[in-house]
Amino acid sequence: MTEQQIETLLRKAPRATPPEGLLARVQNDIRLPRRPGKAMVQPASVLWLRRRLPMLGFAGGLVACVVVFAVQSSKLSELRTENETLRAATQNLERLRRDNAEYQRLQAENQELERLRKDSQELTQLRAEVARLRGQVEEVNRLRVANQQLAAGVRPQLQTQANEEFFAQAEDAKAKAQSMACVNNLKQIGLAARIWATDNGDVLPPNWLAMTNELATPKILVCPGDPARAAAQNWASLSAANVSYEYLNPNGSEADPYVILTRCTVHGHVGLSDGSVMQGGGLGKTFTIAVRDGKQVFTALNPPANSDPQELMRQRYGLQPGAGLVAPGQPKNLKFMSEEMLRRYGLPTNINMSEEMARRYGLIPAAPTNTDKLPSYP
Amino acid sequence: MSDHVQALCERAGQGDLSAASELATLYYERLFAYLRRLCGNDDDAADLTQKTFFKAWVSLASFQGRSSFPTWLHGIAHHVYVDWRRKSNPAEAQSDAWWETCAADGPSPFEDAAEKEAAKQVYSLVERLDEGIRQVVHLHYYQGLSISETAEALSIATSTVKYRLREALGFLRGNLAESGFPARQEAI
Repeated sequence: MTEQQIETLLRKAPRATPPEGLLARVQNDIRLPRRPGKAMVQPASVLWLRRRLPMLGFAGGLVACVVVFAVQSSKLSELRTENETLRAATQNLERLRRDNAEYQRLQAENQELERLRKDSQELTQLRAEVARLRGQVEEVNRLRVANQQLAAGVRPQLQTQANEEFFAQAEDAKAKAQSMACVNNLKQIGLAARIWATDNGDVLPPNWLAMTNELATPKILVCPGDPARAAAQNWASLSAANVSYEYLNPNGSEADPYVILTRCTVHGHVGLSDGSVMQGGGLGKTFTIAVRDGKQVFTALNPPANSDPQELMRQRYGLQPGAGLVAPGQPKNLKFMSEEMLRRYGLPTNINMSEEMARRYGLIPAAPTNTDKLPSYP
Repeated sequence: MSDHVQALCERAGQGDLSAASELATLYYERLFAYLRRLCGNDDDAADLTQKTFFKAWVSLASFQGRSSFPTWLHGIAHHVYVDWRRKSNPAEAQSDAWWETCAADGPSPFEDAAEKEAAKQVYSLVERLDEGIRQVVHLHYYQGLSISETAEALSIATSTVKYRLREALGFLRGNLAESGFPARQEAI
């Protein structure tokens, strides 16, 4: 038998008849779940879409690939075009560089020209200003001349004399002030010399430059009344043109307090080796200068031999009466002031210092007892 | 699937008992015939038919309409039969006597005694096929499902269905030739 005959026989297979009551049993078993409102069978369009979803997905992917490829091709084409353009522009790069350099140079020249133009304008303005100021100066001079003429014609002679006296007094006050400033300079110089001597075996400095560390500034070496000299800018540039004072006791001993150390060439003030200063106005009146062993020595005229020592202290050091005494008017232990001390301070030798004052100046040792307690001063 | 059957399925899904009853009326004979050939007796076939419809009603909500309703029913019947075979492990389902009885009842589709004898031989050989091939023959030839519907009912590929059909025809032709049924020139 052929396959076709076999298939025909198979398709003619008889069907068994179901037993009676089967349909009723099947229908009685029907238990349908409630699903109201929802369509059980999906529409044909949804089924069609679901069956063809893989194909549609593949087609969508393919279309996306094509789109991406097209976009990339377009971008590539644009880049090629831009590359060609840049390549063509690069060929003219050298010429563009030269043009650019020329442009930069011209721009710089233009800026320079602009600046010069501004300077020229400013110069013109300044010239105009100068001309205007000159005119004003001429006007001022003319007014001053007219003013002088008017003053000469109007002011009385008495007024002129009063003015002269006023100016003379002003000049005198100025001269006094310069003199006091000169004295101050000499005192500072004397103090510096004594400090130097204390550090160098009581020997005074040999010259100005030796005590530059002790002198505050080169300005104190110039007398304020000396218009011919100016202060040195620093010690290195110090010369004779920057010093108004004579240094008369180089390498001298500090033990000779009356030897003149310095002297002002303008005012005649003298500074002694003990640091004190005598005004030049007293030369020949209250003191004189003698020469001893080649050195100029201060010598007092008519010393107050028997004068009151308290009054001398007050006059010389500004001390109140009774200073240096245990009680006012009660001198005590005046035996401790040595002659050397009296001579150094220019005091008469017939006075003595109290014990406490001598201890204060270190002339006698401290009290042997009660060393922990500081001495009380009146 | 016709629009009428689709409408019945939709109504049954919404809880319409009359629609479900009409669907059962339409397909219970066909399912009973399928299961009767597989089981070999009326009682088991009736029980399996009843169980098949019961499962169909329970699973009606999961019926998406991707296949036709009779195909979906045959798929359920196939699984019900497999479960029944696995549990009861019955002996050979078919017997030559059934075919003789079946052919004697009512008008016969065969033209003569020789064809009837050949059919009896063919059906007997079909029951000797392997289970998978036998299922394909039952659904495609006996139940009249197409190849794609058969594949859907058995959850296999259409190419597998075609392969199994070729295997079955080759087996039947070879055995029929051995049994003295030469090929006839005229159509049956």
